This record gives sequence, structure tokens and C-alpha cells, in this order.
Amino acid sequence: MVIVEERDGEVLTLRLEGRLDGQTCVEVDRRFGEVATCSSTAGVVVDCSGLAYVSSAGLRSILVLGKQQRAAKRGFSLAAPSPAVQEILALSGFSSLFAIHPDRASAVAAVRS
Amino acid sequence: MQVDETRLRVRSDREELPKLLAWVRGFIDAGGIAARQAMVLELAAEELGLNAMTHGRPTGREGFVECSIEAAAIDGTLRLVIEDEGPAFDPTAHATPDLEAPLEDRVVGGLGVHLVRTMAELRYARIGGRNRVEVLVAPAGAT
Repeated sequence: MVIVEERDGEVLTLRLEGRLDGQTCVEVDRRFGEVATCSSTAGVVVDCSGLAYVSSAGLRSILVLGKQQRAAKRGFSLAAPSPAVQEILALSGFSSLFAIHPDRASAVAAVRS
Repeated sequence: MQVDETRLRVRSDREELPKLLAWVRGFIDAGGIAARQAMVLELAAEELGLNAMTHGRPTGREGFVECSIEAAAIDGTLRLVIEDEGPAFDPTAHATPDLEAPLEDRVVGGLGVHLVRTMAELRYARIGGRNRVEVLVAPAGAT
């Protein structure tokens, strides 16, 4: 798992590249935890375009970050999941929980507004 | 000694998860499985395998989780079997998690079993003090 970070002003995008499973979620949780407490960030986008696989362990990582952002009154959204990852998100009820945008630019714009 | 790559035996300890993931990836990488079927197989192995490793330990001694995968020659359905020595646990009877709860109350517990049950066919049996879960993963397009 590689996490590529890009910043658009106060919006931080974390692009997950690889597989988010019960093994790789450990390092993702660590980085997500640092992001959640970073004061210069007004909102976070998790870019799923490079995400090949997600299990319930990975969903937990996303859920925890989303909860933390909500509690801190910061924006949070997901971007560009593949059809396979989108299916998992939908079956998990995550599509009613978080905004899921077709691409990073629209996700960043939504988090900023 | 010939190693049978369609079978795996690991300790009932979640530290063994990397072995399970590598094993199922190896089966998939050997080829011939469409992407979605591979994903469902992998998800089933991780979710149910991790459950078995975490909860499948018999009282007072180390336990083992045994897994196998085979492809049905006729229609390409994959059959994953996971057996553990823990207390009885029937994933087919497991309650569906609340998928409508607001964010603050949302939990991931039970989500893995829910996903696998939705995307594949599950059968459970308690045989000789062991849990035996069979997962049938149909090829893409089949229902």
C-alpha cells in the first residue's frame, strides 16, 4: 500500500494505491491518525482511484477517519472508486454515509465548500 | 515433498493473516479467474478466515484453521472451505449490521460477514466440534 498525498490549499487528498486489507490497514490507520490531528487541514479527500481491493478492516480505517473529520467539523469525502470498490462501499452502507465523487477535483471542491 | 497449494493450515491467531492473504493471492495469480470472482474469493477468505483465526481458538490449547479452495470443473464456481476448532459460530445466522445508522453510531463489526453473505453463497455445519464454513463463489455473470 502506497499513500500519495496532495494538497489543494487546506484540502488534503490521500490517494490510496494498492490493497486496503487487514494487513495494510495498520499503516493506513497510522497515517490517517496523523492527518486527523493536523491543524492546517480543513478537509480530507480519500482518493480511491488506485485502490484495487478493500475489506471490512479497510472500511473500518475509512470509517474512523470519517468520524474524526465529522467530529472536528471538517469536510470529508471519497473520490473515484473502481466499480468493484464502489460495490463494496454500497453494500456496506457507506454510500449513504459519505459523499462519493467521480473524481478528485469534484471531491476537493465539495470538501472546500 | 509436494506442497498442495489449494490447502492451507495456520494457527488460530490473527498474526497468521499475512499467510492467508498470500495463499489466496497465489491461487488467484495462478490464473483463469475473472476479476470480480477473484475479489469475492479474496474477500471471503479474509473476512471468514480472520474470524476463524480470531475466534476459532479452542479452550486451553493452540488451535488451527484449515482452508481449501477448489474450482468446479463444470461451471467455474469456486469453493472455499474454512474450518476452525473454536466455539460454534454460524455466519449464515449472523445478524445483519445496521447499515442505516448515522455516522456517529456506525460500527464495522459484522460487516465482513454481511459482505460475503451478500456476494457469495454460504453454508455452515458444525461437525465433530469444528466449525465448517463453505463459500461458493460463482463466476461473473452467474447468479
